Amino acid sequence: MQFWNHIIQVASLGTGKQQADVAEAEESLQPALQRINDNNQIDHEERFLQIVALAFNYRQSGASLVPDEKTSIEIASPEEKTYCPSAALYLLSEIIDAESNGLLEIWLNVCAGKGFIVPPELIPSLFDIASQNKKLQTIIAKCCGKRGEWLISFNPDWKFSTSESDEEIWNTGLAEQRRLVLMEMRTTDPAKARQLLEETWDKEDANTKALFLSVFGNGISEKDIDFLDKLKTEKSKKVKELAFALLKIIPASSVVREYVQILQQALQVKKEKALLGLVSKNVLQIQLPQISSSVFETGIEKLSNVKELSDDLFIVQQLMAYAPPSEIKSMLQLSYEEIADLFSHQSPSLLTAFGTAAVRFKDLDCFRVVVGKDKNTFYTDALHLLPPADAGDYGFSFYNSRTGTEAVSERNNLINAITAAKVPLDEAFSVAVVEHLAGNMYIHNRKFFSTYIHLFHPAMINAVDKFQPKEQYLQSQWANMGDYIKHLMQLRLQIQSSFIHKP
Amino acid sequence: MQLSEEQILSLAPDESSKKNGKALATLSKWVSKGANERALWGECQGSGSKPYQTQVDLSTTSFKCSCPSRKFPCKHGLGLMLLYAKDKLSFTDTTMPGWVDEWIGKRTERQEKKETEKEKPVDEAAQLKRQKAREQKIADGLEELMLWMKDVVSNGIMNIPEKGTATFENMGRRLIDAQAPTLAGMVRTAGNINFYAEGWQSALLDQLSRIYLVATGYKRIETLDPMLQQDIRTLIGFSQSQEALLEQTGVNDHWLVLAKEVSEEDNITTERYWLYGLHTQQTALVLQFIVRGQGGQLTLMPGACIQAELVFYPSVLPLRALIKKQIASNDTTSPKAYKDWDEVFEAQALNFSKLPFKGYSPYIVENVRPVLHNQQWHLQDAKNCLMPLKKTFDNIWLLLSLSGGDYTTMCVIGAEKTFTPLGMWYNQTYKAL
Repeated sequence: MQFWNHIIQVASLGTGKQQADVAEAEESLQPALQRINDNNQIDHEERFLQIVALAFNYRQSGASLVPDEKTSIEIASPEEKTYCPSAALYLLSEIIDAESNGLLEIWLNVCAGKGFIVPPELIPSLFDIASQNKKLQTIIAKCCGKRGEWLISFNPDWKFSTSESDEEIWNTGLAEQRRLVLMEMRTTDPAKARQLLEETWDKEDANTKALFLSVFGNGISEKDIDFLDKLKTEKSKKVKELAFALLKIIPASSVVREYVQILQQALQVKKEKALLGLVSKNVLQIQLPQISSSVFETGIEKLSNVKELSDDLFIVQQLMAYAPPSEIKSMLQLSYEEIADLFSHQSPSLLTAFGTAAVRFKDLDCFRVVVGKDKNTFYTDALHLLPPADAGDYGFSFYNSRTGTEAVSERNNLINAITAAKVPLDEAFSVAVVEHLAGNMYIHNRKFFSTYIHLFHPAMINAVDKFQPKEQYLQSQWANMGDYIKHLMQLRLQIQSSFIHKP
Repeated sequence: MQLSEEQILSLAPDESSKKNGKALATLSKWVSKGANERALWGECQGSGSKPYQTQVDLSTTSFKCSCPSRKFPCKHGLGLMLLYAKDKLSFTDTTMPGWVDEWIGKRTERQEKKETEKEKPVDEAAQLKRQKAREQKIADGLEELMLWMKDVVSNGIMNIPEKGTATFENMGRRLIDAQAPTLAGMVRTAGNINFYAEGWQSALLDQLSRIYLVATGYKRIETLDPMLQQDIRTLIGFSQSQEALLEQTGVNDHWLVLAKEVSEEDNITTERYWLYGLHTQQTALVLQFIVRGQGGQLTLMPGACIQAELVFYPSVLPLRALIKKQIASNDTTSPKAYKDWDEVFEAQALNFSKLPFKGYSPYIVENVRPVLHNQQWHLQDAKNCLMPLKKTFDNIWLLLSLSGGDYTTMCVIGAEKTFTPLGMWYNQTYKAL
């Protein structure tokens, strides 16, 4: 190698300036080199070319390696679980090709649920998917068994890891990883999550603080009030607003207490005679007391921007949306039905605010009463409050009630809301959605179906052929879309059975 | 022939063809379909009014489709084969329709014609005259090549990166004029070295050495061993008659397809199939050149095994071969592997002693495992010797996952002290990487 380096040096400068020194070569090579050097029948450029050719072959034929005892690799632990049946693996590759993360999640859950793991050749591609889809990381790690646990540590791109504790990730992870830890911990152990956040709060920048507060609503309770109260004096306007928004969903917080107190002074129900004194009816009287300016710093607006809505009613409506319905009930000494009746006759905007509060404070009884009276508002957040089947019924009944020029966009919004909330659609709703989408092809693309196919009823397969766009030029596109939808649904229907071992 | 999905997908020209082919592997896409021992066919409803007629000759895995795609095989061919692999029983029709019968008939006829065609009488005097004229042209070209090489070493190679590739291209063109096309390619290869990468000087001197050895070898070709003469003539650019080669008796074996390498230059796709004879332990390289828009005749799937008679091009180290006859095989004989890197080096040295300008070759070596050393992946043998993997190797995670850190038998390709894994044995089955 030393002689080869010498040759490179000579070749770099050129034989016009320097000649190869044979003495630099290994002893065994010298006799042959000397014969070349002694050949006077060729010029010194050709002699050099011959020396290069000889040294090149000497080098390439004499390759060797020195043992390195220190370098080693830990061997992956043996698997404790069984590999998936081949039918399931075949289906997995089809699902990956269809780019449906919805189906992939179902497949992975069934795989993990049945105690199977994927074979080693699939682990790298699943880890690549996991690195792009944080939601799938835990379940993918679970399906990759001991081999996956072992492999993950070698690739820095697969930063997600099951071996690190939440505290470790919280202390050393990226902002997004820490947000996920906080979100998860707020569901399982809200107090511990709050403690972690309080410990590092002063070291975080405003954007990171806002990021963490955006998931602090999980598991929120009155135990969080002290911490959130301290944030009222934060420098960042965004952080302050988020802190107020969180305080406004805790019934015992000073903000909500103050709102309730104002409402208590502002609202009065009086009985009035009607129909020549034969019946009496409730009448709501609104008289706003003097409101402290601090209330308006909590996000309450002073002026209405709707002509038909007075400023006082506008303020009451905003306060009502943040007052626990049970407190309004005892304040007015009326049942939910009576309150809903009163609001719907006298001030429908108050009924909507009352319904919003019912959803916000998770008062299902109150919500059901309000929905019975308020047919024009769709309470999107209620989809998370209601049991899945009821949420589907609620969505479908609202969907069916939409008519007129706005119906298409309202239905689109509703489809988006209901799928985003992961509410499963029953047969009738699924068919109705397919009919709607066939008539409005460009609004929901393949990505929509690949993401949400698991929410639809299998009956949609037949509906795809039954409905089609009115425009002829769209019909072949819908046919392609239909094939894709059917393919996705067929994949979904095969998932469970593909895991059954066939002899 | 029973092919796996993985094997069929390895035939796809690109990722989108794989994806589209898979999407067509559903019953609803095919208006009609059928299969028998010789062929596979189907009519696929595309965007046109008439369905596309897709057919596969199973004896050679050759495709034909009436679709306008320039890809080969097209998504319809892949989709049909995937559907057949997935749902063989749905191919109930065994009688070839007219359009399939016609194509298969023509193929058989062409094959028979090739086999029976007698060579036309050759005008030997004219042939000799042409040969002498060519030899003179080559001799003149080699004279110029020698002068050029001497000029390069005399002036020094330090300034070559600044000068660019023009000097190599000009010399290459001169050798094309001198009817030495392969040698011209060797000169152009020298010009394609990355002059901004570390170690370019060594790579350039290596290539200049090979060129010098071939050029000087040709000058005294009469003094060389007849087989070595063939190697030199091949590297100058004399072509071999494939028809004449196919008339010779070949090597019968069960050949494992180790890998398929694809490269494209000037609208010509070159497919390099590396094969390994399970019983003869012979390595073979089968080349296929495909002009864009035309289909190749040969399709071999990495990991598959074929029983075939291979005719090797004459050489002191026979490697390049033609497939004379082939049928599918399920032979799972274990390969005879080198025990460690020292044995690979010994085999390498022996090969270089016979053919000093030979290119890279595959080697099967047992008891190796991937390890990380100085931030670079290596293959460690049982003696703890570390062979660095080529930095461009991008399938390390799959290799690592399959190995689990344990020793296994691998097939690597390369020369000297840099190798790239082509595949490995996992649960007694070869997995191409």
